[in-house]
Amino acid sequence: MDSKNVDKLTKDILEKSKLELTNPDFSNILMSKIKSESHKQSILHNIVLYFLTFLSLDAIILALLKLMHIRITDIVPKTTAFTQGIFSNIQNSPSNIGQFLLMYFLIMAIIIFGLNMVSSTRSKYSGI
Amino acid sequence: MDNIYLQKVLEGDVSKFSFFIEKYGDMAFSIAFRIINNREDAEEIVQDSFLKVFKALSKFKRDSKFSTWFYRIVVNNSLSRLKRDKAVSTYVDVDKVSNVVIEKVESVYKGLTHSDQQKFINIALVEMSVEDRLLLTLYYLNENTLEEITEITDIAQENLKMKIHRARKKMFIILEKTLKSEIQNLL
Repeated sequence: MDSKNVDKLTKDILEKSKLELTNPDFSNILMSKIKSESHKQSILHNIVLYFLTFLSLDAIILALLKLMHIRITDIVPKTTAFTQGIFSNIQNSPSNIGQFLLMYFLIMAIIIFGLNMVSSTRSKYSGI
Repeated sequence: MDNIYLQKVLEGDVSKFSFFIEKYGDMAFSIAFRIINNREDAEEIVQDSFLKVFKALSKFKRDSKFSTWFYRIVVNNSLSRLKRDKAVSTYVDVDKVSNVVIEKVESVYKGLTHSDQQKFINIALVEMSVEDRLLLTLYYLNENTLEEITEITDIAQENLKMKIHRARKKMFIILEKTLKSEIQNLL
């Protein structure tokens, strides 16, 4: 028997060893896992995107103020006790800068969380 | 066709990923099963491999076929699950195989019912080593080229032809052994 015929016979025999996924839910279970993975990925992607947007926006605002020689302390009225308290804290106590940064990131996290909630609800109802 | 669906998935239409599950699921299952010999584990490996592929889809460089890339992941996942070849493979003297053996196997095998044919080939495959089973499945069943098999299994292409040839011989010897009673009945 020549090699070509043996090849054909081998293929015919192995054809019988073909296996199939018999679990009827296999595809559905897998697709739901993939959709949830995709959802997780998009949330993570949004968080990074919002975070970078906030940071760059703040950096641009600070750069513009610096370019135009404007000090925030000069333009914000110091009439209320609240603003006076904040400015004296920032100017007089460097240790409070840490607190200030903490506040800044906390506020940013709350805004990002809110934006994420809105965008994920939107994508949920638009069928994405 | 694969590239069109790939693009759609990358553009955010996740539901189009089901195309790949329908197209490659069964073959991936065959490959995983031939390595680890367990239905539930093989199914789990196929699921994990699809998830891995989905997560890495944006990194897929389209210089090879999607199927080759995917089957490579299936093989790697199966092998790492197997850890080492625990299956006891039968020692086979491949030099013993002759045309007589092949012709004997052919005549008996063709006389069997479809379910018996399935039974005997599966018994024979279980007795073979993981590598032999995998190579026969990829080359004869999935009709992968030698280049693709090298990419999937990391076996050097120079050795591949010889390895497939020996695996084929082993399959015939083991089949002859398992079909012995059937052969005796026939004679």
